[in-house]
Amino acid sequence: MYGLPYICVKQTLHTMKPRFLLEHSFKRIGWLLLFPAIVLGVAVLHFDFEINGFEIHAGEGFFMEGKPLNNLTGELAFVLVLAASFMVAFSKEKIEDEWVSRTRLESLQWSVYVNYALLLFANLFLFDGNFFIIMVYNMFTILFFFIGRFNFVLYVLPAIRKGGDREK
Amino acid sequence: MFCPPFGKEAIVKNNIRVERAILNITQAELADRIKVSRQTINTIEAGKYVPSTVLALKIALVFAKPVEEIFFLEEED
Repeated sequence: MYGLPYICVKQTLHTMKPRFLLEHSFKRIGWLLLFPAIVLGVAVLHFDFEINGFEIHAGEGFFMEGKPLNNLTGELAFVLVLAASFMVAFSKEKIEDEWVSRTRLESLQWSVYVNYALLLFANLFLFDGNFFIIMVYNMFTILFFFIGRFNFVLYVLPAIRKGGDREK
Repeated sequence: MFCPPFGKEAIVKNNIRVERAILNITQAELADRIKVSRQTINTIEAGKYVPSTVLALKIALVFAKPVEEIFFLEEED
């Protein structure tokens, strides 16, 4: 009645197939990209860093013809940070099972709560320019909080628990 | 089999650690056999997570015992 070969046959019964997730390999690309992207973003936001020759100009016959309208460094930083953190946050884990899926969803909820709690605090206690900076960060903090919480529960907590008792 | 009386909170406990010791396999080896992550076995064993019926059945198959001998209800402490 009971026996190992059964498990292979029933593998298709595995519930909670992960949906809308990138392949596991994207996670590494995301991590590699994330830190340079954040450095670029901080440089743009706080130090007005601009890459030379990255301006767009008004076309012929338009208002301010030939004049630089905008430097695209900020846009580049935004795209890079968003793409990198998205890859880190929403790539499959090596083994994506039901507990990992559950932890993922739980962490997403957690990060939304924390994010809005902090935003509420910032709204009440910060004004003008300071609040603008917070709003810029706020575009990414849901993802950052999620990444932090998810990876903490997935990799740090079990390690702590394991340190407390003997295996085998 | 212990059955908690009505009106009292019951929690799911498990024997996985003991059963692993009998088979002499690690958490990682058990995880590998049923195609889940090692952390999942770790959290189940620690009582932090109650697996789905599918996963509970698979674990029982590895130990070649009925599910009720691996997972059972107990009154909350």
